[in-house]
Amino acid sequence: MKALNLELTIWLQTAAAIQLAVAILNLFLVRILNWKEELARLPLLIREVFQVHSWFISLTLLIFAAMTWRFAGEMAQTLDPFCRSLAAAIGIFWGTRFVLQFVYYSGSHWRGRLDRTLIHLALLLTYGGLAAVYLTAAFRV
Amino acid sequence: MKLITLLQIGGALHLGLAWAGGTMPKAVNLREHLAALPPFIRRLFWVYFTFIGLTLLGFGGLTFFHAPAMASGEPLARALCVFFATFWMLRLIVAVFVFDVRPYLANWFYRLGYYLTTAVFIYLAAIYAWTAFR
Repeated sequence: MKALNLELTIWLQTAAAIQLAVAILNLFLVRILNWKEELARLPLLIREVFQVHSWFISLTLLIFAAMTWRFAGEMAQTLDPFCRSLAAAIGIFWGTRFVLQFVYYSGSHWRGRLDRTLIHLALLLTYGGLAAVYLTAAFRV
Repeated sequence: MKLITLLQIGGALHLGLAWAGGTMPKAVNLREHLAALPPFIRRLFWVYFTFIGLTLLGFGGLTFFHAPAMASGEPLARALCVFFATFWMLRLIVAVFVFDVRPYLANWFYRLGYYLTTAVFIYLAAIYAWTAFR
């Protein structure tokens, strides 16, 4: 049981590091994918809403990452309901993101392009993995 | 009023913010504006929008159902309150200094909604900061 908890702690810390990376990457998405021109077509307020949503998604991921990194041991070891609920909330967040990657984004974005297909698969693996780690921490017996 | 009750009010207010956010697309003709974007960016916009809503429900649910634990002063609870306070402080700054929503405040309902949501941002930033640092 002790070994299992230690393993889960390491998985949670890995999840924290991944979320930190996703948060940083998300901040530069517009620049990386050259979307400035497309977004310039939007009215100012809508453009600002897009930008602010992007910042706050990154901020939320930073909160998840920092909380997980600092409290990975507690999340993996205690049976405290508050700790479990926090893990469940983050797990549901990533579980929903995993499902949306399947059902919301059209396959036409990646189908027939090896580079995009690999990115799609990497995202599925990342989102699914994050959901699995947190849901394990939340619902383990 | 007890801190636990104040936190539960804060938790419930997140629901109100999620509802207010849900009215935003209609208020600013969002669908029409987004039609100008390529499909991928349009979908990403809606994914951001959905996840901001999910985040509000998560923060609100944790606060409402675990208010006693959050008020306990344990390190995990204090750390979460610090982050929530930072989140709402930044959201308040954005509301006051970044967005210019005046052209969209076309009727009393939207104007009232704008001032109420700003008041909620202040309340949430204050209650989480107080819980974290008392």
